[in-house]
Amino acid sequence: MDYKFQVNLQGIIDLLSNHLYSGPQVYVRELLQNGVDAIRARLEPEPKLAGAIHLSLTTAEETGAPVLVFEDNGIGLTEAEIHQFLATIGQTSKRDELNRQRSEFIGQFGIGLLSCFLVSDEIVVHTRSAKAADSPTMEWQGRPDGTYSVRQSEEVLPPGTRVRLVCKPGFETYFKPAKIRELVNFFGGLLPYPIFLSQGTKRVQLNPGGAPWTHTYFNDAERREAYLAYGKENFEIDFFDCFELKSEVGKVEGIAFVLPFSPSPSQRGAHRVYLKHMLLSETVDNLLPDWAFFVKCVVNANELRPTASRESFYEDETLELTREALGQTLRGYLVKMARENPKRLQKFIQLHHLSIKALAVYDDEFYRLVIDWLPFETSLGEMTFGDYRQRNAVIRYTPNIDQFRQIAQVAAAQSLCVINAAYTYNMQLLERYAEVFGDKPVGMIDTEMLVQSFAELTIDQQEQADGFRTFAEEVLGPFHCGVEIKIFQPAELPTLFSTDQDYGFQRSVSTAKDVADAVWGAVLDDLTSDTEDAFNAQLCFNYGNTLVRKICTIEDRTVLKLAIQMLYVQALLLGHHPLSSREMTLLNSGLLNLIEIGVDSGKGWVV
Amino acid sequence: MTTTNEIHDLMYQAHQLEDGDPAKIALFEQAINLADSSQNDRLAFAARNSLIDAATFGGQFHKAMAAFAWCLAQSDKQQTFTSLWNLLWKYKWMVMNAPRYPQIEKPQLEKMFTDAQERFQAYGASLRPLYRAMADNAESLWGEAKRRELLELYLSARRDSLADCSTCELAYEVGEAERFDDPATVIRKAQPILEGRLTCRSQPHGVLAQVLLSLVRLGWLTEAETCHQRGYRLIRTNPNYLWEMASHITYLTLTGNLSRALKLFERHLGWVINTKERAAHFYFLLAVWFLLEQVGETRKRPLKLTLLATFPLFREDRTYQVADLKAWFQKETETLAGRFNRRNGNDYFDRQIREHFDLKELAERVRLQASQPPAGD
Repeated sequence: MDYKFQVNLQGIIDLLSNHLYSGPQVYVRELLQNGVDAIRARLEPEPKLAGAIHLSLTTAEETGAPVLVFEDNGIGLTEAEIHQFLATIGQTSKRDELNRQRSEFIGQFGIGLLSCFLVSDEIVVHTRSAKAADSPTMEWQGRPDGTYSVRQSEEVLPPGTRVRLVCKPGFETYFKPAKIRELVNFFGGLLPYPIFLSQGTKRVQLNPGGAPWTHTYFNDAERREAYLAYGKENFEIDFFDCFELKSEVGKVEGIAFVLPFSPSPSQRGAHRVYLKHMLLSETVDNLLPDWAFFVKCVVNANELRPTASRESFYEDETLELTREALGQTLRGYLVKMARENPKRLQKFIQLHHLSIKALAVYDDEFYRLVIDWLPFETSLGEMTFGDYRQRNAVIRYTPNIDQFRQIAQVAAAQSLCVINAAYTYNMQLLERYAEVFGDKPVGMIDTEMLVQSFAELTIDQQEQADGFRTFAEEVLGPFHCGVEIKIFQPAELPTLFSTDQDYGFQRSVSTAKDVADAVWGAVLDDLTSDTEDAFNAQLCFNYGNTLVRKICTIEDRTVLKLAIQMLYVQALLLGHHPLSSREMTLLNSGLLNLIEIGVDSGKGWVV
Repeated sequence: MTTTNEIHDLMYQAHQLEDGDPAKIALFEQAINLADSSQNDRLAFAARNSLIDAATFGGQFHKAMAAFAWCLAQSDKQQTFTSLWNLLWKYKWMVMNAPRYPQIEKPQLEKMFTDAQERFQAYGASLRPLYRAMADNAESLWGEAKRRELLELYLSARRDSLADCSTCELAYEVGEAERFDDPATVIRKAQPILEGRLTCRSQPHGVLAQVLLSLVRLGWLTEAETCHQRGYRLIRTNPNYLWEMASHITYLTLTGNLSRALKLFERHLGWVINTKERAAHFYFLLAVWFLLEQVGETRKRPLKLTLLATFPLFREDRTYQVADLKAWFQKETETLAGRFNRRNGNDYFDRQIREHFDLKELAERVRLQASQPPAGD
């Protein structure tokens, strides 16, 4: 003998709701969805039907608990359909195992009307099928213990379905008129059928007019104002601007609201998407191109297929084309603004330059249009790219912040203006310049290249500096720092310190090793074992500098060593590199020694 | 602006950026430098704490290790900059990721694992997440038996506040199934993540790549393409998803979409050139080698590719012989495999190469499936 499991329905519903849904408020969505599906089903045989949904809110006389009655004039249910639709969870088909899995993979799993048990201990449904004129009115009563009864109702109703819920203690919030209005608007505000809420003799329509883009407006200004008001009402944000979105493919329509702030990564892509006018999700991630994070959109799609997660659509050709069409609309908006309203564009760029850069990286035409407006950090301060390319024959950039700082020290004297390309998208944008415009060379510059371009010493000078060079290499070797001597502008600068891309990491490792325990000290030793003999930094002495030339003639090795060490420490400090404990010792003892030498030399101090 | 404000400002800017943006890591590094220079240990700790996070989830894990070692030492000095819980949470990442650098020798790794376990035990924490983290590289380090042993320990240890989130734990199961079960099981296990019922910081990014091979094996090519498109969009700006990128390239290779596979190779080559080597590099190099082998079978003319100027075979005219590229990737893959094998004292990575090339059969099957009319849906 086989037995069936006894399942506690309430337990199952709580479980499913916690995993599938965001909270008890989904009961409104499920009721709306059922109502809309029923109306759509009845419209097929009766296209002239005026579909409508009525909600009415009263108080149960015996308990004082609020009661919500939800009624539609849709297709209704026959007795057989009641058993099939109202009392089955997680229906399975007879297909083979693998196909079943595949359909679950694609399909969607809901608990429909049973979600009402989240807020009510009793669900009573009156329904009359519109399929036959003589269909009886049926009454279904469901209880959270998993039992239900069905009988023919004494009351005879017009075709449609009426659901009656009595508020469970503790869930009064979900029966407050304001809450119901908010939820109806959230889940079904765009529905083309009127949704009414009555209380006593008062009756209001909760969705007057449906989607704002279906209205007619006197002119563009009025339209813009209405859209912005809609945005304010729905998101409590005073948007910077708004425009319409439309794609024939996928049958998508809606509004894009331009955010008045730059959104953080977690806020990006939070578009409110409706599918056939019912809310699908607020976090659909693949309907718009991913550079579109400067807008928050409300759209309705009629012909796209959602995945079970309700957070994205199936990646098929339709979606691809839809995304492209919507991308074109967004782009069109920016292009129009660039042409017609440069002032607004400038303001817009201040807010959303990351978005603009992201789009320009892979859209040549857009790149041409906006690149001149985009701000960049240069060695002569912040300027727009337009200003930069007007003043410079060659576009030069540095790949990281250390390089930028190092080069910025000498750039002006070398008649060089470099762009800091360390930040998001900058490097990709600059590298594309030659491809898009082709009128000016673009190149990366690093300190090593710059040092190579400096003037060499004459043979005489080389002879004079040779001993110094060898000694400096000896002194700085333990610090993984190489030595170079050249002549460069500005002459006031005694040294130029340059580092490779691994330098910061190597230093962070040695800082950590200074304090780490044996276990981690050994791990870090191994981590850098393959690069440990390399010089990650170089100190280039400027032979054009008076002080450096003087230092080269010092014969006292102790004093010379001190001078080299101090120039090295100074270069580190100028480059914003924190000193290691060893370098800190150099600095401290070096300063004291210098003072001592100064005092001992007996020449006194010039202040 | 005072230095303290400047440090806070840099950290604020960094937090605004997405995982995988190199600028995010660079900003935290600047903050650390400033804090170190002004000897503000509290902010130096806070900035390093954030860097550990950004570097671990941004594809530059070696930087996280240096920062972690420093933080751990500070915390041992009885400083109260952070909770011990916070450091132990991050210690899991160390245990899981450190073995992916071949230059770190086995004794050092084992000592670190012991240290982590002792610290977890002293804290009264369950070792569950550590067993799991160790199991991740156990097969390559110590062999299959040790991996099974660790997994059993993992499953029998209790979950507590230091345990990985249930989404991550499910993703591990998908990974296990991917290696040892039939493809239908993989998909069944992955479902809650694929459907978005379970998500976290690294999911569905990882699982969308992980299921590709199983979907191809089942012949569910529409679903596979959806997972590919969805997954690729999630990972394409974050080099931390190098392993996943390799899986996407292999998927495209298997399904004959060679031009798109080459496009991905072209775009993401920078993720392995001039960066610190880790195990995911091996899988990327291997995927590209396999791709070039498939390309070479039909194409004799050279390829036009826009590759990085720092790529050793870089050519100004953008013209590359398939055979030259293939030879380079083969050599790099084998060299890296050799380094791991030497460290581990086994041939695990050679076996990985052989297993990958066994996929040729699957590619052939997909070709046949594509050339036949669909059997109805």
